[in-house]
Amino acid sequence: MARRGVGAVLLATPHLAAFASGARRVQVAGSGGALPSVVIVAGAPSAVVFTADPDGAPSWMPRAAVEPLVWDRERALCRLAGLVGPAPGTVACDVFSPALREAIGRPLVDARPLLAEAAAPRTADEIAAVQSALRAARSALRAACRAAASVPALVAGFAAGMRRAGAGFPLGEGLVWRTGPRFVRLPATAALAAGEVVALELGLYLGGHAGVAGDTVVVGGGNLAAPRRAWFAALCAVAKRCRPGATAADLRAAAISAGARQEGLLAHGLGVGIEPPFVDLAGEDAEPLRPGTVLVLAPVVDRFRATRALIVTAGSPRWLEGAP
Amino acid sequence: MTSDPAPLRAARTMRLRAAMEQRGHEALVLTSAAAVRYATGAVPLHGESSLEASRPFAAVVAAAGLHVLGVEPEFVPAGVERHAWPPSAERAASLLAELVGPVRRLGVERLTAAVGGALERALPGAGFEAADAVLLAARAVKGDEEVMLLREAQRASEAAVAAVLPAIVPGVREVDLAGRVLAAMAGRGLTACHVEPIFCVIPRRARDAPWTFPGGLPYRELTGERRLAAGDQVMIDTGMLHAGYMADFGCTWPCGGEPVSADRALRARWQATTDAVLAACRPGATAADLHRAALAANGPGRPAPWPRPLYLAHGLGLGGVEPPFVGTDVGLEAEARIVLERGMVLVLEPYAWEEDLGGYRAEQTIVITSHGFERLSAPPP
Repeated sequence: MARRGVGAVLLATPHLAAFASGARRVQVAGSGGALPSVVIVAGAPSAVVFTADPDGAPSWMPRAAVEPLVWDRERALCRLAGLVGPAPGTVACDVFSPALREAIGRPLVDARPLLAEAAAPRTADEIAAVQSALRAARSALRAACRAAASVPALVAGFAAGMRRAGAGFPLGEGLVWRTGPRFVRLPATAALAAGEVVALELGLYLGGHAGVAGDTVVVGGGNLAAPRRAWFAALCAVAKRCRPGATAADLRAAAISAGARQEGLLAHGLGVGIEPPFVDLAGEDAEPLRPGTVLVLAPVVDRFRATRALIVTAGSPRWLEGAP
Repeated sequence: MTSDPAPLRAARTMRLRAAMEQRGHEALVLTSAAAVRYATGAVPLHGESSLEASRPFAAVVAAAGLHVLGVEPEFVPAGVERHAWPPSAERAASLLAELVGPVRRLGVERLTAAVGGALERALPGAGFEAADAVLLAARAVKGDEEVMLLREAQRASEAAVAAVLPAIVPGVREVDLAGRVLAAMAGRGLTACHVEPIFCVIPRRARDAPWTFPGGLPYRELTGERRLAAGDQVMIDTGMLHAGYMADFGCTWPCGGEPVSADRALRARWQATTDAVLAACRPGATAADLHRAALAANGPGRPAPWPRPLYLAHGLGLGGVEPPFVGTDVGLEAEARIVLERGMVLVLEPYAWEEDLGGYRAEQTIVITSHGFERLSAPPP
């Protein structure tokens, strides 16, 4: 905030609000929208959180900084304006909200670049937490693959694996694609035929951090050693470029020269949810990688897609998961 | 199901366009999975906010037609124009502006600051307003097919929770039960989880409860690592989507399955409050009527029988919990302007608390009918 001359940050997107405040479940179902639930003012002892679950705030947060969720929109705007009023400099917000801008009487700048910069330098504890979540997701994915008769069976198998890991919330409903010249996402009700080759990616939250795991399997069992080797070569080619200062364009170039093609993201960050950078083969992102960024690499070669996570360090990247 | 059936889509789009006309919105830019599905029948991947940020999508409801951005072709129905999500915020805004066309009043859902700012620059003559009021006006009243889907969602959820109840035994962690219910739900075809499943031991004394806001009842709803002990009261609250429509299941279950007299007393009080609110549920009644009925049933001088700052009741539909809310800080005066209509779906979820006895919360889902209401959920187990 100081480096960018930002005096206050307002956050409405749940995972960004959770990252900036450390509070768990800052929004309850139905309360989402374009009004912030976390306010950070430069120089203040703590962020202010609006929540229905005060026990979800970190223990070090002063109770005065934990306020009840406000459902009355006008009152909420008024309180937000009061909080940021004394802040010097610009006010940053993660969402577009003309009503908020009017209420505080100041222009709003985009908070996301600031948050991306703040998220990159990870502590050892954060890295360990992400690594635990990755391990849990990988283990649950293996359990899911054993039950691959239908998409719901995959998700049920993953949930059973989540339970063993102590994870209680999935990142999403789970992605299952029928592989081929073009990947086709399967609906949540789809049955799978023996011998069908499917790519899947599922994720979870463990201890407030996200883990994702993706792989390609033959339903009922089968050998994918050759495409896996080609994918692994592409994975290593992209990983080699994951150094501080490299850009998304560098990763793209490495992937393309290793034979990768466009199916969703080539890579994305990971932390308190899926985070920037979002790197795909057609993107225009020119932001350089920063040390501390956790990246999930997901190149697609031929009809094979899988994920592996690494952390960008000052030197060579370090894998956060075991080799395939 | 890769996109919604044509009659269901047509009915929803018609209601949305009528609401737009009534409020003078010439176009909408929608970004929540529920609103995109409601307006177009397209089915974006369901996930939490970070997953959505990594795979952005939107719908544009314009005079000239319906458009969807960022959703795979297999999940976009015929008649809806599909576009890829452009590779930068500027380009996304430029495409949205082109699809919206020259308008004076535009309703928008949550946009990132970058896309929203660029859209504002691309549409200099347009007034931007929150799309919530239009969406609520359209979505508050459900058609028969929507009610049928909500009923199916509820039945599947009830069956899944019933399968987990025998596992609520001493030694099990709360989080184990959350994972177990997710597996049971998926086994019944419910794979989209709207809210983190809640399996929380409710303390019997205020001193054993986490801190809460002044005037609030002792309460817990963050599932944790806590291991259950015999006789614990476990509050369950979980919501899964079926064809996009949410089931909201809630009950309180004794660890080991045998309620003690305190549990029975609390349940009786919950039932009395629920019955009093149900007696007020009919077309023409207001949210304030429901609010007052709950307070009257709870007795004078007692705090409102729901956790603060949550609610006594909320609407339910495509995508999850939605207005109208009853019992929030908006107050009785504002609630007196919220009038129940046939086809509105409500979840009543009072909370009975008594020091030394503990707490009991359960949920009753209903649809308002021509003469009163009909239950969509079974009585709590």
